[in-house]
Amino acid sequence: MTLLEARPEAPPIGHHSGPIIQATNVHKTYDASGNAVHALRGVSLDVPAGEMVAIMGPSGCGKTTLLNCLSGLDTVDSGQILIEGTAIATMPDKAKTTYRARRMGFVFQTYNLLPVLSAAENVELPLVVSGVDSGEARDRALRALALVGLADRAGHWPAQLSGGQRQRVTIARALVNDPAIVWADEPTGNLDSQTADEVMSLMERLNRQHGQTFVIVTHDPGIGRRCHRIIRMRDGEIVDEERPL
Amino acid sequence: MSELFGIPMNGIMVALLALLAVCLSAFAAVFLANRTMFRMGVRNIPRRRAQSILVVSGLMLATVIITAAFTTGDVIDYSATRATYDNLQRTDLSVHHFRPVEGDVPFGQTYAPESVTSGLESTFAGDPDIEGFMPFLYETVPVVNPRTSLFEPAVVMAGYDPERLTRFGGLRLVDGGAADVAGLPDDGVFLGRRLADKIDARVGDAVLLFARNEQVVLHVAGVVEDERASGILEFGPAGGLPGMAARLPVVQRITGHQAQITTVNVTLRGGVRGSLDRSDPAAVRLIVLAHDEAAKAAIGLTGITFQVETIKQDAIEGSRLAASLFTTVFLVLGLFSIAAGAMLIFTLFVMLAAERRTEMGIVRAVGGQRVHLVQAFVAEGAVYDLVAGLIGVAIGVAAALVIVVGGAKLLVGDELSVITAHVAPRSLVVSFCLGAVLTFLTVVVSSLRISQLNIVAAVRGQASAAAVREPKHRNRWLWIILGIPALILPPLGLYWLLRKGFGMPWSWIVGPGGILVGLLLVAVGRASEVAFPLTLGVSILILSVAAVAQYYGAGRRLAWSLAGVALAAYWVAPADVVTGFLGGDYEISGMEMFVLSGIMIVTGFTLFIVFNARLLTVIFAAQRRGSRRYLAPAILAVAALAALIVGLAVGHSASGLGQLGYLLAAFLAVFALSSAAAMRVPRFAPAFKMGVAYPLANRFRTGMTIAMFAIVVFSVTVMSIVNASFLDMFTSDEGRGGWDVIAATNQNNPIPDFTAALREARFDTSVITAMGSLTQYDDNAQEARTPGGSWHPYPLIAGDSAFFASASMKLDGRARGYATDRAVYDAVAGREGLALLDSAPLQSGTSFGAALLSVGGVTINDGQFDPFALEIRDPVTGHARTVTVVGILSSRIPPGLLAGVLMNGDTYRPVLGEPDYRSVYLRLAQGTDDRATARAIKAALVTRGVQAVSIREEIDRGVAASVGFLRIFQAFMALGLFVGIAALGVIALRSVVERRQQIGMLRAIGYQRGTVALSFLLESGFIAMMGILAGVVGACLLSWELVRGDAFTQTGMPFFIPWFDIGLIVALTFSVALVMTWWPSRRAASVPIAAALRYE
Repeated sequence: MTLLEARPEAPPIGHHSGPIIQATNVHKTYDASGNAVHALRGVSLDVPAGEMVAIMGPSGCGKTTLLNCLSGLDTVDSGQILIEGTAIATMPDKAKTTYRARRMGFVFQTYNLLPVLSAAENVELPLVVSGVDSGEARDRALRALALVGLADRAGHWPAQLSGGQRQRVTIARALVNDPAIVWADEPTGNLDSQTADEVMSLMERLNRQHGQTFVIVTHDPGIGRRCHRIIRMRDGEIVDEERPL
Repeated sequence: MSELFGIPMNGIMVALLALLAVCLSAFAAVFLANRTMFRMGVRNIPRRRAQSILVVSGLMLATVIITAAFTTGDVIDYSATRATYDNLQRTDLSVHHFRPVEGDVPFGQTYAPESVTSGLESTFAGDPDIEGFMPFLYETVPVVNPRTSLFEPAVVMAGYDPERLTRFGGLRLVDGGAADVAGLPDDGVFLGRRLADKIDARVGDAVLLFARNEQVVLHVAGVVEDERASGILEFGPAGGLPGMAARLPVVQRITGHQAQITTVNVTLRGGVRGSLDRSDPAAVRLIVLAHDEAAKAAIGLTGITFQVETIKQDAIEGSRLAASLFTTVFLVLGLFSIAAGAMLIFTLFVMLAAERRTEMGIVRAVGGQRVHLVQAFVAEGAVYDLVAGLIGVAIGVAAALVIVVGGAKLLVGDELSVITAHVAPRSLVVSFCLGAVLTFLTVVVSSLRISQLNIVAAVRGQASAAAVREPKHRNRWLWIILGIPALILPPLGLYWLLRKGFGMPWSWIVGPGGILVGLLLVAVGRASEVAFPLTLGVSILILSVAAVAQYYGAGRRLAWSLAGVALAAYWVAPADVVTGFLGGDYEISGMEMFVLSGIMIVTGFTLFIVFNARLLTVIFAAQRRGSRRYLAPAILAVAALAALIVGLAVGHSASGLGQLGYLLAAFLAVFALSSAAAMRVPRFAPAFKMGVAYPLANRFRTGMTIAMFAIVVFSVTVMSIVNASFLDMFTSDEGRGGWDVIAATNQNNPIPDFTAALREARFDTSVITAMGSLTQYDDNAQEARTPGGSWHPYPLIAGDSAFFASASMKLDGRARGYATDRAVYDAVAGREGLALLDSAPLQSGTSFGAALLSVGGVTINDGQFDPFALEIRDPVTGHARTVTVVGILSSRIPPGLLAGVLMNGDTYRPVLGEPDYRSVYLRLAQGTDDRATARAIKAALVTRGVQAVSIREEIDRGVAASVGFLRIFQAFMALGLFVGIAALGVIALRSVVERRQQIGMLRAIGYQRGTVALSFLLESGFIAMMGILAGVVGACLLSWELVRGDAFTQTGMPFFIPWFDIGLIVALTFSVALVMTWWPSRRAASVPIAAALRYE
């Protein structure tokens, strides 16, 4: 089985033929110390499978909230979100979590690697929770690390890796379960420009070679320009779209 | 309680108040010197109320334990003292054991002419201390209440002189007021409260008593308080015979002792409670009289000697000593918990520091010194400390009253009904100060440690990177000069000299410094032949070598794992390894060695666990498919089976080594089952991976928590094993020594032929297969010693020929030359000068501070020993002789059943006069109900005053009381478990906060809520289980080693693991630990993912 080969137990929703992400009139309000903050105000968007989308906008415009709502990490107040044709918001927590483990990958600005596990152990986490055999999980984790150029760092602890290396481990972790969608929240936010360029190149290559959908929240116009489409937000609304490529 | 460790409590209180004042001055100094740091510390308290409550709970534990120990002492002191004054009233000294210097008067029949009282009054008229004398005739008789058909076979009837008794307080009616002792008619009697209860008698009842085999009718004139003047000669927990009182001439007439008395009670000036200081001078003058033949002749005691006992002073001193000993034992046992409490305080402050890492980093970044951080923590800690101290004192008092007063009554029974709740204010002050000072010192040490941080990492909210090797700094001469005189306070002097003066890195101080200290302690131990410094020194050496090895590049895991193994192996090794390899003869028993061994074994195990437990993930977290899936559980199951087979094969040999095989099998089986479960439940594997990985990422914190659990479980388990082993020893059939019933006959109703008396009473004697008689003993007037040694009170007992002929008690040892136990019995029965001895003197020791008879140097090999000499004497008459001990009675026979020097009548006679065989031992036909038979004998011979008891019943009763006491000790020690459990709660709660973002990530990548919760539960479960495992295994190994050691081998004590007790300890501890972390686990599981990922 190759790293990105679909597994037999993957849910059937993976065979959906329309846009892989469909959001319609999504609203989200936070209660901040008694004041309602409208984070999302009727956001609608479609993302076809295999597209690499950048979500950009000033701080506090709702980028991360949109990513969290689309990925099912957060709930919405109203509107509909379909992932591979299925309304993720209405899924029970357990099913949603299982779906995330099998069909989604996440890359965070602060890496969020577990400091108590080695690089390989961090990468194999999504497989372990999916019940994959330990030997197979380790094989796939090592292949994922090789894919991001860190085969020789498999036994290192996060504290022993540079920022770029940590982020590549995160990407390997996001890819190890052969996800349909990779969600990346400011994946280069903590990296210097050269490392950020390397990480972005890696994601471009993976998108190109494996056809995975990437949704990237970023401040960096340079990152946005390397995506298929840029969605610009302000005050919880999508205000512009651009196709730089 | 007036003394502790021999130091007056007032002195202890003053010293502790001074120390507390120093601590409070430090707190005030922070307030005055740096108000900002003070506020920074103190304002943290209300920020997180739940956390503050947890911190206070953790900090108060030491105070709780200390207060509970002191309150226990107070309760015992107060109860015993009150019981003494209640019983003795105006009696301070007792003049008794009137014995003719020459002649064969049976021991125990000790009478003086009544006129001796007036003689004493004349002799001591105008004495500055002695106020008066009260003559008494104390005689034991059976009493029956025909109205209720209830009887009491042995009641002490006190014959009193109305005029003198009235002058010194009279008797107190239970309904209040004074009894009319002078107006009591000749056919009247006052019953003591206990006797009235036993035979359900009331005023006006006619009671029958029997003396000289005749019946006498007396009428109950009143029920009076139990006291010496109403016939209560023994009081306290063991009780004694009930009593009653009648006029002296009446008792003299009934018992046939006209114009005779047995005792003169001496009243000193000063009232009931104010006369103690006069006891010694008054007793000295009376003892001088006892040796002055002319003076004795003048008062009618020609050729008669007597004994003078300072009974009130002895009883009060005994009460105080018992209180002090109980407090000491509880404090020493509490040391385990106090040590665990100190670890908890350390852990709490490390956690607080972790939470405030960023704030601390900012303080340092803007120019704050380390001392400023210390100031803030000290200010905060001092407030927690004082609040916790006050609450701790209150809870400690409550805990002691529940455990000691409630527990004593519940577990030990009515025998401890004298126990009364009482707390002395001085003890509360001492407890508060001691707890507060200990806690404050721990807070300061914790603050010093946590103030060391990497500023950049702290500002970013990250943990500091591993410490780099610290170089040696330059010498600073001022500190060197200051440090030398400061060595008078070693920690301060060493810190100034080595750290500040010579600028040594910590690794140098704890490594080479530790080696030096270790060597020094070993040298001190060798020179003084005291095991404590020697073994402590060796332990410090092991740890210091590991520190040095790590400093110079040895692998951390390797160095500390080896140190852990070496330390544990050293402490569970046989005694001759622990001290013997250095030569010398060391005493390795004692409470301080128990505490030290516990701490060191636990330290060793903990080091090994925290550096190697990651291997467990192989057992639990490996998920393979197909046939290999169950490989790990299968291997574990096979290993468990192998351990079980080895255990069964070894069995009881090697001092019960098989029990350790079963223990290993039990643990392996638990691991096998858990591993199999892990393979079956998919979510277990990732949860376990997290559950082990996180604790092991912080070895210090985890090690401390494991050690807290381990140390308490260790102490409770050792206590359980010792308890169970004693129980097993005494409750075996061997404990009865082949006898079933003991019948004590009455001096006033002699029975020349016991079998005939039974037949006459229509008792079916066919159930009796053997019978033998012993003399009764009074160890206050009988002594023994090894030749040239000191005399110790010790029972001297004569047996008749029937007793020796029927004796089947197994002997622990026979003198060389005797092929069988029977040969020994025959020799002792037939030859004058030979004796048997119980096994207790073969172990040296003390009881309540008094040295016991000890025959050192006697070793039993294969049941044989070299016969040795023992001297015995009557201290009243001074008659003495030497006997040769040729047999050691089985140690399984409880001391209450038969203990002392056992000889034939010819050997006994020259020392103690004609033997009066009044204890009849009966062996019953197989299948006979011993309890029913004892009751039947008592009923059949009620008019002869025979007291018959089932030996099995007596043993069970004694064992129940002992087990009750041990359970109280265990309950007290188990208080320490709260420390470990509280620590787990704190850690779990903090972990949820610290790892919120990581929890969010885990949930994002597919961890179910249940898996997150499970991983937190497993984390706590892992720590608790490792602690429990270390504690139980360490305790079993040490107990096994103790039992197979010389001291216990000679007693024949078996090694016996109480599986139910240990299972209960493990299950309860583990369950409560899991319950404590259930709520934090639920919190972790319900963390909102998106919010957690944003969390900083």
